[in-house]
Amino acid sequence: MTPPADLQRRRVPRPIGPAQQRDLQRAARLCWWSIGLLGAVTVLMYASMGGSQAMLTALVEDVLSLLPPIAFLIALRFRARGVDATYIDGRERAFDITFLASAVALTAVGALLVFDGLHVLVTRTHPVVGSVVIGDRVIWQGWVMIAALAVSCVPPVILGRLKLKLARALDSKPLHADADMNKADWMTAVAGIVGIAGIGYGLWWADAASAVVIAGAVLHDGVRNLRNAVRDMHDARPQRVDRSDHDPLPDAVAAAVAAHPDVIACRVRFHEEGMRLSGVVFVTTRDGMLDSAMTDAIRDAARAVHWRIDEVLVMVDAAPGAQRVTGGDTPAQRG
Amino acid sequence: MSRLPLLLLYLCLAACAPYPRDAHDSSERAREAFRVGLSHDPPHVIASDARPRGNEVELIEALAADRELRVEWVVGNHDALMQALLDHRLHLVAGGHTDASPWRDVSWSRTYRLPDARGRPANRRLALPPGENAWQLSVDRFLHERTAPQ
Repeated sequence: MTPPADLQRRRVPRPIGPAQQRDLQRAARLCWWSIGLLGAVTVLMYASMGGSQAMLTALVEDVLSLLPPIAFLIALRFRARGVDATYIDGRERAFDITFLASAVALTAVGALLVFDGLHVLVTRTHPVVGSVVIGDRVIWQGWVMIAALAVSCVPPVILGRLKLKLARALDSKPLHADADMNKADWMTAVAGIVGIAGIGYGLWWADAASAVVIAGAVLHDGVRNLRNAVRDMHDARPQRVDRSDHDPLPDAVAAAVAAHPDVIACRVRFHEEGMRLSGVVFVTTRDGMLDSAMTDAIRDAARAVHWRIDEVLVMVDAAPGAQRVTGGDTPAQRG
Repeated sequence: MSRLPLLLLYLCLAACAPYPRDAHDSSERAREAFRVGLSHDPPHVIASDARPRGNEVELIEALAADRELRVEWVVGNHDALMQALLDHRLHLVAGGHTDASPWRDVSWSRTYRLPDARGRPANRRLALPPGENAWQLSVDRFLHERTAPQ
């Protein structure tokens, strides 16, 4: 028996430009730096950690902040393999999937840490901070822990700022979320320092209270990312990279297509696939017809709007104006 | 809003006091009575006689002499002693604590070495109340001076 002829028509992806290729490589390098530096910070914190709940929570937060860069690198490799007989629509969504995975991890660990901190508070477990010998002097271990936390503030601040710039250039939402998490890192370190300083003042609850605050921030990050990941997985209306508003590109595409002399009206339905936007352009033509030359012209006009516009399907708008609306707009998740 | 600078000023003044401090004033209360929990662990702690003996008991007596504290020995079963330590009713529990002791939530002194029954050095620790930073530092400093290799 001969195998049936392959009736699958694979997507022909629009290659990304050299500037974006370069930015992606820089992002990958930045992710490797993140893994190295944050890994070193994690080891430093583990080595100096006493019985402080706040410091443990800050440490877990730092370990968690390794997840997004690892996820980004994995997605980058997977995406590079491109279209094949199985992945007939390409692999642009690799970023969305790793984003979902890290959001789930962040949410779960955040909830666990909140519970853990509250448990310490409720059971009135007193934090145990011993002493260390440096040179020939015995000093309170809290000083070493505070120093380690202070050092741990530095790399995330720098990495976060660099990532933010690249995330805007590439319109990469996972990278933007990663930068946000790096920004949160130094705040958790400060909260940890406050907790340990509180132990030194004999306030045993200050430590666990700080831990709960940090864990709350982790949980908040996780839930926000999870909601955004769910949104992206549903091909929801595209958003700006910082999620502050609707993405202006679909409207820009509609305007560009409507400028075609034979097009009377144009509506669009685009969705995000990783960094790119793909979707359908519905046109109402002067004579109600749409031939292949015009289809090509409209697609080229749409793609000329921005490098992020990938696959564009052109269709005749069957019933212009007649659109049954069953629900309002779900407001964009801010910040 | 005007309270914030006042609060910061207060914190700065508070910072001038000794730091780190105890959560439950162990250092202060030890001046009235230095309460030491003992469980029988020869040759380090011999609690069967009327007066406790052993090389760990001698170490604690030296600590009391150095800090000018009056020792009050509390001999009891180990679980009760550790619970009393967690409740901050004792300042220290000695006897049977190696550096692999499975007790959690209590604090541990620095590890020191004392000769065991065969005269070989054994790693020993004292159990301390949790969250008593100044008291812990005081005991650890004594142990470091006393048992550090010369």
